[in-house]
Amino acid sequence: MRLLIVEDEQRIVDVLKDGLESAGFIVDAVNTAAGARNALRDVPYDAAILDLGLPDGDGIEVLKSVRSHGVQIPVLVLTARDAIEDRVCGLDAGADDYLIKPFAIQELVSRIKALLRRPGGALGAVLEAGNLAFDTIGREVTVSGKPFNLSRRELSILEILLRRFGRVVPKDILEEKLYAFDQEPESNAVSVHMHHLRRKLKHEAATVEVHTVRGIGYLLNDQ
Amino acid sequence: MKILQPGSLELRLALRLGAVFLVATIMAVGLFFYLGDRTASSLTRQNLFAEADELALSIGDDRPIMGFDQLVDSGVIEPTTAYVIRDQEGNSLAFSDAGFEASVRDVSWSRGRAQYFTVGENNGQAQAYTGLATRENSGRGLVTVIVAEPYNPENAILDKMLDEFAKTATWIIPIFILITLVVGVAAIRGGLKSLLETSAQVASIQPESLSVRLETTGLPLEIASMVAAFNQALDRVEEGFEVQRRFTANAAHELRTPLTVISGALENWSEQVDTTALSRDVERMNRLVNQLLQVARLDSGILDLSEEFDLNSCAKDVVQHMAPLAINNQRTLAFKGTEQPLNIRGSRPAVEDALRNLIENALIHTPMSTEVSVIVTEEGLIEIRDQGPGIDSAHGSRIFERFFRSPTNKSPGAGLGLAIVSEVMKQHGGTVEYCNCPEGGACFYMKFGASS
Repeated sequence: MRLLIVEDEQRIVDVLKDGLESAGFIVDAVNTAAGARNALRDVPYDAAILDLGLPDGDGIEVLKSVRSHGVQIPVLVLTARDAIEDRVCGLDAGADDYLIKPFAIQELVSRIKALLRRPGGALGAVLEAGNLAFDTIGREVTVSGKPFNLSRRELSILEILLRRFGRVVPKDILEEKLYAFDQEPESNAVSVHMHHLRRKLKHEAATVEVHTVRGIGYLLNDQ
Repeated sequence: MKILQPGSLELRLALRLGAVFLVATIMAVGLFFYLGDRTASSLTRQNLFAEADELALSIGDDRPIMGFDQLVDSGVIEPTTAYVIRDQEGNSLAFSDAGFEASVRDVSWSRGRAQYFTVGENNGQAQAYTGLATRENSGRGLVTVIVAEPYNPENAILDKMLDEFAKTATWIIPIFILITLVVGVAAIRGGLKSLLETSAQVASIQPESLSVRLETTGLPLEIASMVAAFNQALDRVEEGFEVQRRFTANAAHELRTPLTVISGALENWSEQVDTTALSRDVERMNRLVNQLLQVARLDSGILDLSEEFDLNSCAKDVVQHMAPLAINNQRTLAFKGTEQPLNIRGSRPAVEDALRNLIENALIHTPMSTEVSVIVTEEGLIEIRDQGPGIDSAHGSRIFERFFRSPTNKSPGAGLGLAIVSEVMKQHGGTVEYCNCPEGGACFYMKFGASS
């Protein structure tokens, strides 16, 4: 799994490299916009981490230009700016996710993994969290290698939560994904499924746990 | 637009213009009367004075006074001239005819001024004269000479005209001044239009729209130079804001880069050594940097308050983003919003910062395994409720002052969070208040104006 870091601060590059390499990635780094364009054109990276403030240009411009040259790999944008407009601007330009400095390396690693697990991404079809593994093609869930049964809807919920591991998934998004347009979900359907899922995860001694954020949605994290 | 508001430039100019027209009209009318009067009477007067002089000279100290015919023959008077000469006691020394002498006896004279009068009306043969009375030195001492010429109808027409004009002028002039004022006000308004437009342009200038420059074309020269000076002042202000903007942006970048390096390095080491305490310090440092940057942005007045956004979804996003942090700290967050979007005008990033500060505070003070709830109401109010020990009400509103720290507060923090909230709310025309709930815990209210 080969990543490109585009960042002009050498100290940050060192820290990112340390963190990402210990998570099993092969990491290259460039420190200019021009270098980034060349590297992304010549090397088939699996994902890129792009700092927006570069000495010879704006990261957004790099992103737009490589996207227009057909580079489809996931790109995670780093920024020290914190105005909302900058985030939106980055996402509009073709970024897949963003992180604001300072950020936790663990967060970066899990975000990169999530991007790579997207359909067509390089990490394949197995979503892992704690001692839980979810084979999205075989639709099979295991805890510490031992399979257990979940209903079709519980599987769907778990997949969505795993793809956004550590982040809140709004309840309305879950409802949208679970039910077709012509199917009106019962008002507490999601919470009923969630209740069963929780109980089963606990029963199987999974190290992940579903948390409720009342009024918004649910979050899956590692205990 | 009101017509002639008190204190307006329009009213002042109109009043001055009115005064100018009043004076000008009075002067013009006065001059007209004066000149008309003089032209009409000056010829007659000169003749009458000359004749009066001649008459006085013709009186010697011992010679008998010349009769009418003698005077006519010697060219002293015209054959048409009528006259009376009186001594100082008022006795008539000589006269042209008795009827004239009798009729001027009762005329009261303004000395030296030609006057119109008629004599002989009583006899049925009215004869109008223009006459004057004057004092002259003669051989028999000071005498009063009254001379008169038959009344000249040409002069009379002019005189009549003057008289009529005077009567008409007394009511025409006020109307004339009134019309002048109305036209004047309209003209002033037209002239001031560009000025009003300029002032509307000035009113639209905000810290985030400082690149606007006022239009100088079409403005009066005096105003144009003032507007040009104002534009130059705007240049300097914009430069100042730009410096401030760059400073906060650079400071954000310069401070966050080393923080990223440190926190990353700590994470990478965490498998070999215990970095928990250091990580907490870095987290604290990070929060302080963020707060200082928020303060700098608020102080520099570069907040864009013109954006319209949904307060409900704004609060919901903040809760959603902060929920993982709460869960990692063994607390939970809950949200209760409105059914409908709650659109307000302001700066969404600033409101997010403010709400984030209040939630961070609540998470610090609420005990483990309890919940912090954020409630948005239809009235444009965000309520943040925790289950902590509450706030010592003796502090009053001092808790919103910068760097205020309660002596009993052991939690880390610089005392900037609430000051930021208070400033953000102030800039949005709202307020932040707090109370201790009867069932325990503190409750903060971010109150936005109904239409802000």
